[in-house]
Amino acid sequence: MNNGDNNNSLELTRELVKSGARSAEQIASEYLGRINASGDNCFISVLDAMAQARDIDDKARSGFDGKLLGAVVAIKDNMRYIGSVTTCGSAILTDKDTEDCEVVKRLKAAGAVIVGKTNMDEFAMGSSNATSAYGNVLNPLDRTRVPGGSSGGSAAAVASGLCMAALGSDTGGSIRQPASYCGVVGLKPTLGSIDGSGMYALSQDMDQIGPITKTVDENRLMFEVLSGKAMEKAEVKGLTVGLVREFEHWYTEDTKRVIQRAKEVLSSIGCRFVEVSLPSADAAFATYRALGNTQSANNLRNIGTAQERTDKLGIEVKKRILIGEYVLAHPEIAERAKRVKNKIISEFAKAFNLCDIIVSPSAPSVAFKFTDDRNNKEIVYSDIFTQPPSIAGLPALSVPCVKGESGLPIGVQLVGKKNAENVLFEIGKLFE
Amino acid sequence: MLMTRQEFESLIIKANLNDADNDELFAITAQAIASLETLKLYDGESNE
Repeated sequence: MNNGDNNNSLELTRELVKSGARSAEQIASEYLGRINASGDNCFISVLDAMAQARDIDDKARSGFDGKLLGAVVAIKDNMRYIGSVTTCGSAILTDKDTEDCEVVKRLKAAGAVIVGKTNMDEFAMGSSNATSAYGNVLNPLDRTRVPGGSSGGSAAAVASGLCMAALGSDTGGSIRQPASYCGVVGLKPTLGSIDGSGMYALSQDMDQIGPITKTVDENRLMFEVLSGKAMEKAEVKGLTVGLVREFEHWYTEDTKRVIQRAKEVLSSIGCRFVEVSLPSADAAFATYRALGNTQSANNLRNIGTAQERTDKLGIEVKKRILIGEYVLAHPEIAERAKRVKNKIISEFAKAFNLCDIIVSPSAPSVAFKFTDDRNNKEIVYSDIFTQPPSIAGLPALSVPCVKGESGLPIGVQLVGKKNAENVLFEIGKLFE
Repeated sequence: MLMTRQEFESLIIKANLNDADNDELFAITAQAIASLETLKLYDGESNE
């Protein structure tokens, strides 16, 4: 769809369908054609989009309106949609869903056409989408590279115009890191701000559904629909911006440019920069590993027989289940991880006494190649900047910021105080 | 934190898997479990 001067394809679609200038069916048909023609493996399944679109057209003719009227939206394949198999990117799940998850209900109520379910790392365990039982998703910006993960199918689908918006889920960076790799906008909202009922849980203490879009305005609209909250306009001129001292040793030439660009953009509206400290930030990875995998082991315990689990679960999932079992057998590790988690939360609280938002790169590098050595530091720790805010339950928005190696994008991560998504959207727009 | 092969085999049973002979899985799991040692540094127990 040609958006002209409007950078919100969702609002434009609503106007077109409402006025009768275009039908939801015509629009859905165009997107289905693109999905069928795409070779990037973004989708695991395509849904009954034409039937949904015809239903929306009928309702629109009878006066129905919704914020997402006729909008073509994809959901990650860990979210239940009635009549579909929610695979979680795994070969072990084959049963059809008997009801919609909460976010699907909200999308439908807003008039969206849910076009399909996107590919993902198996059970959301990964940062490359390469652990999916349904094959690799290709990054549309460079098909020799990963799209990121675990919501890689959602980010790649938005980047290549196969949907107007997509839902991802983020436990330690699974929306923001693929958004950074694919050059799109991804929000990990405040923990609990969007109802995750009906989604397969990875780690329910950190899992958060959020939107992936091409623009910040689209992201804000999606968040409003999904959370039921109206975003009030925030005054962002003159804010104090925190830069994390402990992140600096991770910076490369590319990610230093993210910080430089952030300084240029935010200085232009009178923001000032202060150094803040998160001394335990580098422990976020181990904290996430201990606490998250314990919940994963419990969540997956009753899925399949021993032989089915052995044959059908991938090695990354098995590894994480075993880590979880190990921590369950050594409760002192979980206790230690909980104390470190509380330290991270406390350090963020202290940091936010000094600043209004915290800025960092979203990822330590551009998207890596499928053939790159997975022991590379930037790959092993690709969530290094995104995990600390996840552990603290804070909202964080990734917006494309600079071009790094090979001209590929790296996002800037904007971390806010709890429920300050409106501030992140206002700041995020400045980078577009 | 070091995971022995015997402990790995015990975890495999708890996890309802038949992968006791899977050397690759043992290696990557042992490496991941060793990384949990990091927590001690940040929990103020590095001198234990």
